[in-house]
Amino acid sequence: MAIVNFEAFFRGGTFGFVQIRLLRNGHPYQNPIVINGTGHQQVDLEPGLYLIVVHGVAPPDGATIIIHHPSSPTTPDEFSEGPIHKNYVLTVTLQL
Amino acid sequence: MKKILAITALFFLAFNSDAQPTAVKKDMLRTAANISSGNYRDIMTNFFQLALNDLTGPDKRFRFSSNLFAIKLKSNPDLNIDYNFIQNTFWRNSNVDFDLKLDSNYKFNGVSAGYKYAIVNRRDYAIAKDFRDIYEKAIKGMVEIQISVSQAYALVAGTDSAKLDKFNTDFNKFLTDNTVKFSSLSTELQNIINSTISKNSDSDWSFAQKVQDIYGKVVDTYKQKLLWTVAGSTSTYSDGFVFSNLDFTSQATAALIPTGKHSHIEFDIKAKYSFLDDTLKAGRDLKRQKLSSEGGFNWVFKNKDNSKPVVEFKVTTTYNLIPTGLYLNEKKSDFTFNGTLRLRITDNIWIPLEIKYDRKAKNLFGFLSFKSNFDWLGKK
Repeated sequence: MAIVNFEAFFRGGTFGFVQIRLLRNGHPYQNPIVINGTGHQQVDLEPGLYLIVVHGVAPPDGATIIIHHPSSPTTPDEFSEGPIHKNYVLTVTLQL
Repeated sequence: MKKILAITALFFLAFNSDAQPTAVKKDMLRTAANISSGNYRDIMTNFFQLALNDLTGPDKRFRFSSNLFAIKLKSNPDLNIDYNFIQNTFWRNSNVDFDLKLDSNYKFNGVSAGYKYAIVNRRDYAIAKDFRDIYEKAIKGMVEIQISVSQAYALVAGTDSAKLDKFNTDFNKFLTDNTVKFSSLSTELQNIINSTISKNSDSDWSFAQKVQDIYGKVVDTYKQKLLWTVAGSTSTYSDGFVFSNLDFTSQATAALIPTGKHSHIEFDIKAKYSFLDDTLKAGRDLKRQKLSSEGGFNWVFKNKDNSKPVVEFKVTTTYNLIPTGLYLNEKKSDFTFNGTLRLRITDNIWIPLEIKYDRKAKNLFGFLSFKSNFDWLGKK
């Protein structure tokens, strides 16, 4: 198992959130993770190829999403005000 | 006058040139600042506003208005993070302004300062408790498309990370860039999307544009809600810093009637009670009192492409009453009709032309002003 942290920052308003769905080798994995307002969620993931499906909304001064995992070099990812819809590919390997 | 105009022009040019890169990016989306009416921005500024008022009148004013939260934010950007933002309601609802007054010869004629507080600000959707619920309901269909298409191409890719990466790069462009249309996606991804969406007859649709439109529509509903402010202000004489007047004002505005797909009428009412110097008595005092009330409608015409107000026409009636300190041959009350035409020159610059008609004296007055908002100064 590998620990992956999802972190989100929302600026300029209080309605920001993201919902994160995990697909492992193409199949749904665990229940969706929700980050309501600035905060983080930690999950234990089995090794595999993951597609991380993220949607949410950024308040007037934007949002930042960070996936703490070495195979996710595209984050921190900045979003300006409005809808957040983005997918990330993550390869989780066995942690020794 | 030329000096002031030159300095102001340089100020606008310097700030607006800095703002350009972010302005281009943000133009894709309807934001709080660019869809607010000029009338609303005069009542409550979100960040900074600079104004040259009554340029053609006898009493000219060079005004700087700011939101107190915007000032705090300049020294501590972390205040913008949501858990700090909610703690600063008082500061976000507070405006301060400073005026430099000039006479008809453009000589110093005193200063004034004021404080304004929004006691009801339902237009501030940034902290609206129901915003998220309304938005989630509105966006539900688009979220389902994102999830089902993602699942479909993740299954096709299986454990092939290169293939998944390729699908994902293409699909992310579709999700985030409103210039990327369905027809520009790879045939394989188009087929996957077509197999997951029951009806997709439009080959020119953009996912990013659709979700931005949905967001803009939700935001629009808040821009028509009630804003009610109370304010206090004072001015000094030209020869020193002794108060020449003290004003207490209350003002409310809200959108009333949609008059078309891209226009609406908002009501605007204002009442001001002033304590003024009774110039008939020796020395300086604040014993003369005056009540001014104004009510009317502001007709807002928006750009059909981006919903930004571009022209506004405000018609009001003014009623003035002097309960204490009436001068000889002065009317205890009077009644005037007013019209203000506001033209938006750029995103941040408005030019209001104010016309007043005194029914009894049958006089027509015109005042030309110049106002610019500097919202981007409050942002990163």
